[in-house]
Amino acid sequence: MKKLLPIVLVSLLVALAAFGAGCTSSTNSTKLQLAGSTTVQPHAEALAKAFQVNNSGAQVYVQGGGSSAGVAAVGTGTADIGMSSANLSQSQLSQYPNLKVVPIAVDGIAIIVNPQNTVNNLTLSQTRDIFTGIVTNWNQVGGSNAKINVVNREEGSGTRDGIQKIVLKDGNFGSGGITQSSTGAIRSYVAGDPNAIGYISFAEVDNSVKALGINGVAPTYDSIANATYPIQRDLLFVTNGDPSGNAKAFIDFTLSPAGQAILKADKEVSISDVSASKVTTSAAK
Amino acid sequence: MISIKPNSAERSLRRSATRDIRERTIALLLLLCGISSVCAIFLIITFIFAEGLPFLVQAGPSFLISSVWRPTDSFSAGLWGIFPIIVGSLIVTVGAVAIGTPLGVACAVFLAEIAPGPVRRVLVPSVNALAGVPSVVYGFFGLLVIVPWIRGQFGGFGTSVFAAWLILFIMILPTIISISTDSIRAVPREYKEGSLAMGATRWQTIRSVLVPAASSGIIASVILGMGRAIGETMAVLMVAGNSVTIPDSIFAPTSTLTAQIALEMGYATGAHREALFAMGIVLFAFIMILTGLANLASRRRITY
Amino acid sequence: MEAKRRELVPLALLWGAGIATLVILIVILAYILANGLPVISWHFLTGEPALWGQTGGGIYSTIVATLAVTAVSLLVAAPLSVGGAIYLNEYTKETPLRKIIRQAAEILAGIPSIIIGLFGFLFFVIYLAPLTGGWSMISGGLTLAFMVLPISLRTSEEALKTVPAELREGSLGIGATKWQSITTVVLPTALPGIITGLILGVGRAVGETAAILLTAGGSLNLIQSLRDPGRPMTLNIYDVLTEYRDTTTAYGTAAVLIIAILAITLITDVLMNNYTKKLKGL
Repeated sequence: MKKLLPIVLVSLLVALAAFGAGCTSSTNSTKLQLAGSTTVQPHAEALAKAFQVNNSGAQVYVQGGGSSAGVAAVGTGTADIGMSSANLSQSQLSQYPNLKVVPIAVDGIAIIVNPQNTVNNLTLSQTRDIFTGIVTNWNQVGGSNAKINVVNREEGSGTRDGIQKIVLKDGNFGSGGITQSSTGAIRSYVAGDPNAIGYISFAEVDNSVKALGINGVAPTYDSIANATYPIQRDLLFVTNGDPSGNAKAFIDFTLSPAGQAILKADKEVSISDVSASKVTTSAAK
Repeated sequence: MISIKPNSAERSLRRSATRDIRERTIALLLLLCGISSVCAIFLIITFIFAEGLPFLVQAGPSFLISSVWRPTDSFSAGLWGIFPIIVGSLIVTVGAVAIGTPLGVACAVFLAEIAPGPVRRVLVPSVNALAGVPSVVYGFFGLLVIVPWIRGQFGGFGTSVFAAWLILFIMILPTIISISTDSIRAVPREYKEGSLAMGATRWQTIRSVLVPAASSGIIASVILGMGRAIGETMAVLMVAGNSVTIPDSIFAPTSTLTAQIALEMGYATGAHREALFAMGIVLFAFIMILTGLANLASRRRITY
Repeated sequence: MEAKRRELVPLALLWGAGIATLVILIVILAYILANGLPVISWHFLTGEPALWGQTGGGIYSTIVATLAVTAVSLLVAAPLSVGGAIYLNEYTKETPLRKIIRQAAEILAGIPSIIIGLFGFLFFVIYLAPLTGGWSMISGGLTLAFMVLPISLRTSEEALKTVPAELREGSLGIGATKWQSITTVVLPTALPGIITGLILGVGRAVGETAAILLTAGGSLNLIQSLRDPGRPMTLNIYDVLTEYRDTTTAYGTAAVLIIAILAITLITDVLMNNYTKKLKGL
């Protein structure tokens, strides 16, 4: 036992050292780190897989954390590309003055409810009243007599920011909601609670939830592209300074027809499909 | 001629001199190893306080008393009131301890005094297994089983104070059970034998002699359990709802210091991040108070 | 007779408490294993993770990430804790230093994992970024070491305490130095207890999430080196559950974790039983 121990320890150390030494060879030049919006994340992962196929040796790491986390990560250098589903704020720009953004797609935010909910449409102002806490019962908007359970994203979420700007007109969210920290969490909560209402990227809507029509317009690829569906925003890749090296290659790939096709297949509106009349995430009626 | 070569006495002296140096060096290395825990605490306190203390000082008492938490508010410079979060932490902890203590102490008494050998051989590893289950698995179970059950039975969101109580009490059970069991076992045999010899039944002995004698250890275990509950993050994050409000019923959601930090840390920058570290300091303060209390309690000894 | 009958109710309650505790454990384990065991397959354990939102992937990269952070934490915590325990038990009398070290270890054990994670984020991910690679296995592992250290320090010290004094005195009596006595006599005798403590520490490291959340990254890619970010199994459960409610993968990962923890619990129990029996025989 005593004779074996040092041999075991040494071999463990050697193995670990060899493993760790691999780090010096797999340098940062082939490693690309993306971080940020959980709305953009699935698309970034799909893009990463395709990118890695065409660029052997490249390792693209994608992690979530929310739009603000992504911007902070790229600003501090912990990530190479930040993913954001909200435009950069004043404070972000003043904190990291060298940030550059590249819009990669347009995303619609769907207001989702449980499929059992009898409500199918809301006006934008009704939606606002629900999320600010003025309207608290479904029967006030044409549904059954039940308390509305509001589910919000966390504060750093670009999706939440989009709702605050477009739906709430920069108002404050009501205090009666709960917070879930990702797109998927909101979706699964709403899928399980008949009285819930939440908001997620249109691309993530599936059969477990129902997307409401807003002002009579249901969210579809086309209604987002021609801006008749009002709740939408640009999805952004953010870099510190002009993109270069692997980051530039990845962004170029994303903007290329192949990359845009991947996004389109994921129900994100490709930049080229956006009709000329709409340019920014302007507030609607 | 006198030889200048070392004779055997001098040789053995030199050998023991190098051995001495080696022994001393080893002792020094081991000392450094021992100090590592002290260094660890120093590092943690330094970094956390450096990041959070300036904010705490600047924000002042309103940080602790105000109920408005809007760190990323674009209009004000951020509003920093964590009172509901502190209340959430306390409510969640107190409830978990209230449920877990009777069950835990009873189970400890059972293990120490009543359980026959085979039962004990099953129960002790089971308690250890309960301790070993990762907190995220508890949260997982809570989210998929307990939250929907609460929502179905009692309405509301499901993610609630009550859900946190149910999960947390299970998580602190092993702490209370194992330390209390040891405390009861540590009571001198004479106490028990004396009581039985005077005609008391087993239960009377347990109730009037053993448990009071072990009370300092039991109390310490409860306080440690409290520390575990207030410090728990993942399970609470998944089942409590993360609503920065003071819950108006046990089926309402709430937030705790730990969950709020975990939720917002990923994206907090600047003052927001400092505020989170300030919350960490508040949490740290609670833990230190609890640890101090536990030490005090375990030092008290009931003498007859 | 009267007293005996009055005994029944409290005794029944005590039995109930014991059984209730057992039932709680069984319910939780059964639920996770019943849903999770069917998910486990060779492909699940060795395959690559599925893309976002799709099921059917494997958790190989998460298993490797768990092993990596655990190994790093052990590599740092084991020598420090065993060395510290040796120092506390063999080299000092009840000096204030000893009390300080013990107290520090106790405080460290009580610090919530999220706070250690906050510290790890500041210190390893940001401050020491060039060394650790930012969010990485190294950052995660070093952070975990802070949590493993107090556990193995305490158990190693207990193990050393149980070595009978006669063994030490005997060894010193025949002329061995202190260190020689420790390595040839004390350590081998205390080794099972020390290893048990380390295994308990491993259990803690494997099951930790909050600290990992802030320091290890979260990428699903297979790590190429320790400076890469990764996603250990515990974090994977949280991520797949909250991000795309992939309950299948979550159940499977949880089942793997539970099995690992149960194995660890069983091994430590068996080791400790054998160890105490052997010591009694001494």
